[in-house]
Amino acid sequence: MNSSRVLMMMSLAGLAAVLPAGCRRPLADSVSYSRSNVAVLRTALGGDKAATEATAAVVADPTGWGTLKGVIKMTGTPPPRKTLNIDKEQNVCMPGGKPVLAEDVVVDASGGIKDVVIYLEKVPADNPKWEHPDYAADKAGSVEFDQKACLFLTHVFALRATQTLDVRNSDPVGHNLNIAGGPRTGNFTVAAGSSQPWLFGGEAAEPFPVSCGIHPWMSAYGLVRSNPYFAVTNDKGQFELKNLPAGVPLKLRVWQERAKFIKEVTATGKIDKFSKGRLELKLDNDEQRQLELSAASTLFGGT
Amino acid sequence: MARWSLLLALPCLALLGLAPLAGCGSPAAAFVRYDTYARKVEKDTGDDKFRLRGSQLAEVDELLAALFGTPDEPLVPAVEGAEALNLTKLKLAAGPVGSAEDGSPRGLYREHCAHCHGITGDGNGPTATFLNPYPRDYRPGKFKFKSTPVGFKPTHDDLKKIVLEGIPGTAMPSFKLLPDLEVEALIQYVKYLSVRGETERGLLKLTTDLDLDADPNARLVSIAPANATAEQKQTQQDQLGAIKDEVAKVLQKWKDGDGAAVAIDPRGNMSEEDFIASRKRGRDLFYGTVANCIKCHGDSALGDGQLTDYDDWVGEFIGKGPDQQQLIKEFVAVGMPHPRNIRPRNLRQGIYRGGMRPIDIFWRIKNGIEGVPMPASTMKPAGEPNAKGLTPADIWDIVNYVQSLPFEAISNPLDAVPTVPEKAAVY
Amino acid sequence: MHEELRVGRFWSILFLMVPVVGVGIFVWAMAGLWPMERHWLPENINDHGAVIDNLFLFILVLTGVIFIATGIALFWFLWKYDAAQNTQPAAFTHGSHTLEVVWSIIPAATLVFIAIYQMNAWADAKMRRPTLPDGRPKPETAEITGRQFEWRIRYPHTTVMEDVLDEHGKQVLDENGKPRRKIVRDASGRPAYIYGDDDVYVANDLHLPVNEEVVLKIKSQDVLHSFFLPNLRVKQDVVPGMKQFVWFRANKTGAYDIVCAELCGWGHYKMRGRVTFVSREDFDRWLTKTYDEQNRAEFKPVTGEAE
Repeated sequence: MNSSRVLMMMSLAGLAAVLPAGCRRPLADSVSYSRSNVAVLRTALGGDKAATEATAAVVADPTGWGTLKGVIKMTGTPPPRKTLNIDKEQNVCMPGGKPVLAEDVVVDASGGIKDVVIYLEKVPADNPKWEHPDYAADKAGSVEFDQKACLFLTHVFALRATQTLDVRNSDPVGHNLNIAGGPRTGNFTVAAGSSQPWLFGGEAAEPFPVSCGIHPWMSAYGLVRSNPYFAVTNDKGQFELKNLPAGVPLKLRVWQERAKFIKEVTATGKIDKFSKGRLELKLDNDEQRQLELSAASTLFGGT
Repeated sequence: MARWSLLLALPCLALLGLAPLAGCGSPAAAFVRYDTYARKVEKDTGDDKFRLRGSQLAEVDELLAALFGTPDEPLVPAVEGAEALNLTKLKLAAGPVGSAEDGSPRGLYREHCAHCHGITGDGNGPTATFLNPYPRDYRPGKFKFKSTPVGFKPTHDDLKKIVLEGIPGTAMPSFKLLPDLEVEALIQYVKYLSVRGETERGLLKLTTDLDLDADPNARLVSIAPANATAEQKQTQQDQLGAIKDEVAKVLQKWKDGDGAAVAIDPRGNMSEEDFIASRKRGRDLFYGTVANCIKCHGDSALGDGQLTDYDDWVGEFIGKGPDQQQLIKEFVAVGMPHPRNIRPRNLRQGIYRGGMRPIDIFWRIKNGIEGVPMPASTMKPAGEPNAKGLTPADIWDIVNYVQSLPFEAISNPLDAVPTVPEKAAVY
Repeated sequence: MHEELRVGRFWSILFLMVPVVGVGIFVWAMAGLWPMERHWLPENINDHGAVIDNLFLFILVLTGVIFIATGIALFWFLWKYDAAQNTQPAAFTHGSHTLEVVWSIIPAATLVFIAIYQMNAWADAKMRRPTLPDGRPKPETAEITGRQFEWRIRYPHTTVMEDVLDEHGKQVLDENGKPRRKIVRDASGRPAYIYGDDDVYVANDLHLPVNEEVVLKIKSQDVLHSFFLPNLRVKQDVVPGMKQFVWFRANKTGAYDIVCAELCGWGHYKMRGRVTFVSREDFDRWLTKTYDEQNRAEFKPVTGEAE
């Protein structure tokens, strides 16, 4: 038989072989779950519309108050502080032309880490036994948050949900404050030499970043809590939490900007447990406990 | 014809006849996981090596499927505030493209939106790679062009305006020619995807709080078997309550958004002289230190004052620290579209993405734009003339100045070149 | 051999079916019977559109007649000279010079005829732009810019002011001593709009007055598109960098399609718009309403639940 017919047959056969390309074939599943689980969950969730009344787990009341003092240190060589890239308004933001260092990890000579936040988790709301009366005086006060030479003067600020953040600008140039997380986000200009109040009205589970859009190297972190038990370490790494509830297990979170929730520490002083940034301990009445927590510099990007 | 070639030809022709079936039986569309946010919460624990396990991610998927259904069959979760979502309209938008027996459409979202915004509303559909700017990712629940302040959701009318008018200067088209019912269905579906996305974020965050050291099999919801103890049943109720609270929180924010539109005092009738004076004041404010416009929009309002920043959809993952470049690589590997710097608007082009009406520009200046560095104005408190800040009249001055910028000679280089002046084309 | 006989004539009948079925479908579509309703030309509402339709039909009939004739001729040759019936061996001929000349000249003449015949239609659609009473070309009612994947429409809406002159040609002054100004108007009394900062911008939603000669300026912002109004028989490619004009006179109110007729990217299939023809008063009213909405300078939130 002749070659043109062979060619025709072969091309038809080839075409036919290509057809299965459109047939169903298993694609990588982007979600893989058990349909029966979904059905069970759907029934369980599809229950009453009202939020289930959680009979709160019965928590014992505190028996008194204790104080926790301590210092948070870094062992090993801390990471070197990077220089900020200041590319505008250098006359204001780089006074004297000197380079400005980043503040994400600041360690003093003895190893004390600055700007570590330590705060009490899971406090039952509206229970006077969990909040010392000393804290009532400042409950509706205001906390200053200033900026000068294009830097936030408080690198990590912490306040109560009932307090007002007094945002100030002591620079001759305008800034804006972009609050990118927490219970109330916002982004507003802060004119040169002005001050602006900001009320959060809620609490955050962990610190959130704030920044300036005009000067993007400006960065800080904030924490808002409903209870008054929070502290930010000073430049020697020291903190003090006065009048914590005593006689009950306490869970405190320890957070630093670079390491986030500090994974593990070596503790000098009596603690029950420390894991994944959560410090568990129990204070006795009128106890003044002293703690020293040391974290390895590798957690912060050091060696 | 020779018999054997017939024997070969006929089966081939038969197979050819099956060609129309190619493509049948393709798998149903499914929501994709929020991998970038999962990586973020993994990193936020502080442990760089920590990864959520497959079983945990599967549980999040199961919970979302139980609450919100699938792309073909949406559900409205049975929690407080669910009135914000309308299941009938969602059903018009969901599913494959087609029509139901009563002639009503199906699959509107897939027909009009999914190729850019993705089945999951992640702004990463097949077309998205070719677009600048990228389509919106609904899952963080942030929308740029609205009448409400930053931190609040857009109102229904805000979403409707964007769908009807489109966004000039971007690939978002105008859907004004669609019937009203279809537009409403699409808006509902966008809200639905946004609520689902925010719930997914909340659930992923809750998952990282599970103490796996104590109990490696810990789950967000441990379904109590039929013969469970009262304590187990209570635990299940508490866990389910926590999940429902996550959803209720998101729905409440949408409800709050609907009532948060910012009122605008009327500009009033202005004569030509009034406009000229207002523009002059607006120019002074534009260049001043209270509004700070030129710091980002540039000395010539060309949008060249601040070129290194990122928007929130990318910024929440890569931050602003010295490790930004490395984080970009890490998140792109997990599926984030390659980040582009967010540029301030070039005000001399006359293209206003959020709308060109005076009230639109007023809202942009007063409220700022959510998700990008454009801040809200500091308003002068009433009764304090010496405080720093802007008054509504000041903002109108800036609006008038901004609206005049595209018509300045310098904004139209060809017109600015001296030619023989033609009679103003009087027809 | 016996088998071949039947099969040979079978193939020529089969070939005949092609022109027969083709013409049959055409006629069926023209008649508009089920299932071919609305498969013929769409409704024409353009006074100048009849020229295009007539040209189309003329060419269709002409080519149709030639098509049928050549189809029949082909079939006849296949049938008559089928190998089974024809025992005479094929004879090679050098061809007929006369025949070659004839069948070159006749089609050439036909084509030249068509070329000249259509010149009127072409000029009408592409060259004879409507003019104003004083002879100047009529200005466009709207400028339409095609962009991926929509039609952005801009109506000139900026008024020009001129001095009010008294009967001696001197400026009239108002009570403050300033020259009195008035809006420049065209012959019909409407403001003579130019492009400026008061223009009205819409996307995809073109409104135009009916029963008037309307001119449109069409441009492209990025790639090739084609501005196609099926119901007005208007189609013109828009080329980036070129501005072009199309004109028509609609004689019926209603909403009709604007479609893109030049592949412009992934969204070409949905680059649709809508053109709505309304009376002149309604058009002016719509333009003013759209302008006012575009210039909205106050906002009161709607109290209560939206929905």
